[in-house]
Amino acid sequence: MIPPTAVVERCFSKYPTVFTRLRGRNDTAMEYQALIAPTADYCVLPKVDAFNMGYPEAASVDTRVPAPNTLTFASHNSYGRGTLIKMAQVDVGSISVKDVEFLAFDLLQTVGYDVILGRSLLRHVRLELDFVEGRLRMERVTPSQ
Amino acid sequence: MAVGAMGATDEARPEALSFSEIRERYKDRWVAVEVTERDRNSQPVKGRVVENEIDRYTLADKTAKYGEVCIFYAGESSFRLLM
Repeated sequence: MIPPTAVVERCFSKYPTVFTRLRGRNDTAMEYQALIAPTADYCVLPKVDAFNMGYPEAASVDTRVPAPNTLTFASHNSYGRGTLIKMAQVDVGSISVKDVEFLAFDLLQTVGYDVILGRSLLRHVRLELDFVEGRLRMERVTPSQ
Repeated sequence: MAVGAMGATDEARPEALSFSEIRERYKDRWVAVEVTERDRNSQPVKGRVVENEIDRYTLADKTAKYGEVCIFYAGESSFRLLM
């Protein structure tokens, strides 16, 4: 097995979360508490934050002529639409991945999470979730891009 | 007198709190935190709350004037989640 080049370990009580730092196209960086969701195809962040990080297409409100990178997705009980962007850099602790696809989409605030880390990031890491002990371990197995 | 990164004096700056203290003090609010301490995994554990709001998107407007901040909900959803 390839040894990890970077590791993040964290305890969680109910949902697996991790703090992640996003750096956008305009070099603006923000940090979020993100929900880890292996069943989500993409990572998600709020539209206003995508806009502030240099992705103005994420704030497009033209419903007649949607942005070319508009994505329609299915969730548990509905369809939704968001703008697909490529985050310049995503850091989780010492793990760093460049050019990660994010969906600019506003989750319901009652969820309590505004950012989701889905498979567009998770496919770059080895992830262990232990719901018995409430522990997560994330490993980067290839050199940082 | 020392001047902080945001131009404010140290006396005027909010005190650094652990993240568990922030969750108690700002329960059920969205907070923007200037991180002051991290653990061995580079995860933030302590910081100064520079803004807090009940509405996430109002908070986004307020944080535009700051540099890098850490945003999170200091509470837990009252709903069951299916994500």
